[in-house]
Amino acid sequence: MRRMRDRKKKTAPLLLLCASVVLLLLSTVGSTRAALTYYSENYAMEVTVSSIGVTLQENGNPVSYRNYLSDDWSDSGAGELLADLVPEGETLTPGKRYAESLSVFNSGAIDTYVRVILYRSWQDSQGNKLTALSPELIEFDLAEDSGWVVDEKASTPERMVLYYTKVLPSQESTPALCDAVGISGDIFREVDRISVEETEEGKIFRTIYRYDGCWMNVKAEVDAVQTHSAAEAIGSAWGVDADVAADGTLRLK
Amino acid sequence: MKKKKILKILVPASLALMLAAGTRVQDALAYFTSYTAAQGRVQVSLSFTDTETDDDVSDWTKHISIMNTGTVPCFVRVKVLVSEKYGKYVSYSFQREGSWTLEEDGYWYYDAVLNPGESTEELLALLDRISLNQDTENGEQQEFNVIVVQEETRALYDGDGNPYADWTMKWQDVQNSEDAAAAARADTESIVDGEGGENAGTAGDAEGTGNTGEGGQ
Repeated sequence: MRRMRDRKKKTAPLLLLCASVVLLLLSTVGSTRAALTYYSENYAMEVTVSSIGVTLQENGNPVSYRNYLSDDWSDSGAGELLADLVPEGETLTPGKRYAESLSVFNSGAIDTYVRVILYRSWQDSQGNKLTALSPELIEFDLAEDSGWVVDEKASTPERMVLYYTKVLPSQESTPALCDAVGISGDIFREVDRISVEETEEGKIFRTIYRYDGCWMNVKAEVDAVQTHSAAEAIGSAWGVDADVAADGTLRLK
Repeated sequence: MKKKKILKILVPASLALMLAAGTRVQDALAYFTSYTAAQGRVQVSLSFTDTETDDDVSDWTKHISIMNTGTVPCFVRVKVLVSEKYGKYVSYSFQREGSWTLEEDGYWYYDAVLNPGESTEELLALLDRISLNQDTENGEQQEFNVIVVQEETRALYDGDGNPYADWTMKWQDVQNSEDAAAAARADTESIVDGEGGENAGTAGDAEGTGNTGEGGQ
């Protein structure tokens, strides 16, 4: 019994010692992990010194941007288009063209490839999309020989996908991808009904148009991607197969 | 023993999987991308055009003028209906030379777009009373109407913003409308001004039925 007690007395410190060693080891592992995470974050921050950024411009003025600057994203949020499309006191006149020059500014520190996806649709006053109305009556005058190409395969009546085929250097702008926007005069052929009013002077025929009171809605999305390993980056980020020539010209497959 | 074997397979497999997953994550993170968007909308107002016809008579002359009382610019044209018998006694002049032009379809076309609130220059239909009196028997009273049929069509615009009128627009696509037939006859929004015209005397020889106009066709 006494031997047993002595043995127990000897093993207790030993157990405590072992436990402390284990705890110490565990704490070290923990520190190492923390240190690894810490350095990992540092590493990411160093990379972003060459920051990427993109700005959408309407008639030469920035309307929205998203830039990675000072270790964080600087974001304008959703910008507003068409705010000054129709001069004050006038109403949107079908057939008439209104200046709408859309271009992209590289507001980052690295060169990029950019694309723009233009959406057009009709909405009611509450902002609900009116899918029965034709988006094609909203017409963009696309600029010719501007370096922008339409990806016909990815485009639909409601959506146009345009790629800028050249490298967009840092702090430079693309040419405008479109010059003007307007509504086709064919909108007057879309008649809802004709009302006839009998008056003392005779009959008055009045045309109620299908699109009267509807809202022309336009949305532009801009994507930018690095030029380094461009084909892979474009494939990964945009899901598009593209070739990049030696001079940097982008060609969709 | 079996456990050891399983462990021998599982451990390297798990390590390989983790490494592979780690590599993929690194790849995805390696591409720098950015994105921004903007949106806007503008309401379309296609309210119908509206006009008022003024055709006062004074000094044996009908002063025809049309005012755009609507909210959108429009073009206007008028047809002046006089019976064949009396047509030769009516001559036309203008408040502004060249403002009205008679085309082969019998309509007088106003040469400018009419903005909301604007009126046309007057088209003057003058009755040659002297000739009429010479041709009628002494003391006989003649009565006839000069009917003005007025039509307007909203101004359309070409790509450069220049206004033009499309009088050929037909509402062929109008379906399920009880007035479709009537509308098909009326190319445009139109009003028939059926006010009786000039009295050249008495003993009625009334022409025209002004108040029952059928859309100006």
